Amino acid sequence: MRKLAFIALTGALALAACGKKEEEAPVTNNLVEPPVENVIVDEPEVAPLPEPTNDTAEAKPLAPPTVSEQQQIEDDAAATGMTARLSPDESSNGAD
Amino acid sequence: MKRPDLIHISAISLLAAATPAPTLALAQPPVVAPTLPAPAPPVVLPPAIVTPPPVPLPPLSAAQERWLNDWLKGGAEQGLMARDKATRPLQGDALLSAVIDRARALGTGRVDRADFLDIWALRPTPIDPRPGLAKAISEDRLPQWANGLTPPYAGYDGLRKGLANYERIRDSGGWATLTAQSAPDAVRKRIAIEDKAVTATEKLGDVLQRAQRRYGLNPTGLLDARTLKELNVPVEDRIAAIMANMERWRWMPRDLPVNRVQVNIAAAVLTVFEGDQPISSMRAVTGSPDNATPMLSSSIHSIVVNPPWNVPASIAKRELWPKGRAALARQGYKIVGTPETGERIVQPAGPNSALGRLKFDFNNPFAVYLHDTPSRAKFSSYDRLASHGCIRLEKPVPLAELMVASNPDLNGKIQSLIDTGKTQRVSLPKEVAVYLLYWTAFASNNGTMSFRSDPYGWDKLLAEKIEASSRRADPTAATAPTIASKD
Repeated sequence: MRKLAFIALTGALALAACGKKEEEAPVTNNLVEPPVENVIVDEPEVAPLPEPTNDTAEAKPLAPPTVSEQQQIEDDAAATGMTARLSPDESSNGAD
Repeated sequence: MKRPDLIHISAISLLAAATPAPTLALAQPPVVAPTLPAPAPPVVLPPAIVTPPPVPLPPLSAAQERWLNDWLKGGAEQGLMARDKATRPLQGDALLSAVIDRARALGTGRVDRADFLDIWALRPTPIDPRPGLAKAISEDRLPQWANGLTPPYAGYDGLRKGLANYERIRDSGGWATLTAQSAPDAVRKRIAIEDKAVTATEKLGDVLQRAQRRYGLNPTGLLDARTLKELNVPVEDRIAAIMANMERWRWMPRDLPVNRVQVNIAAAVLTVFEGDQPISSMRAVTGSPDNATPMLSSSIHSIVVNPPWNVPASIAKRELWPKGRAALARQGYKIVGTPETGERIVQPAGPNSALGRLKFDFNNPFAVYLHDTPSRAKFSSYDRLASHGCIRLEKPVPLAELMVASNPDLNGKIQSLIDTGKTQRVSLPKEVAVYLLYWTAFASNNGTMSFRSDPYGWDKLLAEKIEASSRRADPTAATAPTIASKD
């Protein structure tokens, strides 16, 4: 008797869960949509041009560029405030 | 064990340092001084300036008046004012007053000393332009006098040239906004506006990599989101960044020592200059936006080998005490008593010490220093603003070797000192100047500009402070929308 009650309860819960799932399912009118194989597609005579895209958009990252140690030091020197002293002739107030 | 004479060694027993014996600690302070919780240093006010009677200025000739009026119009070239700002010809005292104001602006910048943030601790030395101007007028050497006002360094001059170039770009219409779908030619054309090395046949990936290096991004060669963001920064914002950096250059001393260490906080890199030439550089990790590394200058006087980490109270409170004493003990931390704060946390020296194996000490009121780190992974990242304010070094041992190289007793010995495992302080044969700077725009040798994001928001803040200072100086001045509009 207890076993029967348990089976009934399990079944009820299962149905409830299914019912809830049914409610949450996205609304799709499957009956109206024709099967895919029956859709008539108008093929254009000329294939459309692909959307303009950057030619590296789907590429993998490139290997880091090779930078010599000296070049790296000079780049870092520029970043930290390239402080080579200017001669009075170089230090002008005019815009280049 | 015999040690070189110039190594000022006091072997610190960590156990002794960790022993909660305040009286002993007071009697024999550890060689490695606590970095925090040192009490806040008293604010040292500059000595009161006794203003001498102003130096009389000789009368100007007509030619000198013309020259000075033309010179005043050139403020835009130095990033002081909008290029098209009209200035009417001035004469007499009005002209001299404007000239002196301009000289001060070029010499020390436009932010009032009172408006500096505490952590903008690199302050310009006040100048009085009158004596130099009087001499220049009497000797008829005004151009030479004017040229001597601006920072005499390639870094400033590169920004000045960059400013002219970006204003030309702005006046020509700027650049188009790119998207992820932009055609390769459009991307190439956009980058070529700033990078004259771009050619029509160059691979786009190579062009992008060069641009990414200029922005401090991972050079993937791909037009990713961060690259797009940098490429789409308006030219007006780039101009404002250049001007903010020119202003900070005016805070720099005019006579930097030829041997020095410079750090760009915003780019998280360090360069060693010897005889004014860069001889070594490395990546660094600098303060996160919530723990900004201060701008300052100081001198490195010693290196602590195998330093323990005296955890600053703020970090302990935020990050360590919440773990509980048992967890801290399991992780190797020691809790020691102090007379000032009761207790503090010390991480003993060792391979896992947050300070790594070397700490470079210099006097400053912020308790920041350069140091090694056991967390090496961050150095391979392109986002390296992650510390609590100190500067973590990618290559601390070579840096230490450079600093002690002139002492035969120490030359080449740093690694062996580390290997002893003992905490000891090594005094440098000669102090090394250190500058912690904040550059978000800088020119390379070929004139191409590089930019970094403004991680602390200091460029914008600087513009606001210049605006505020200018408004106080001239309350009738109209509110300017950008840094570019004020003199």
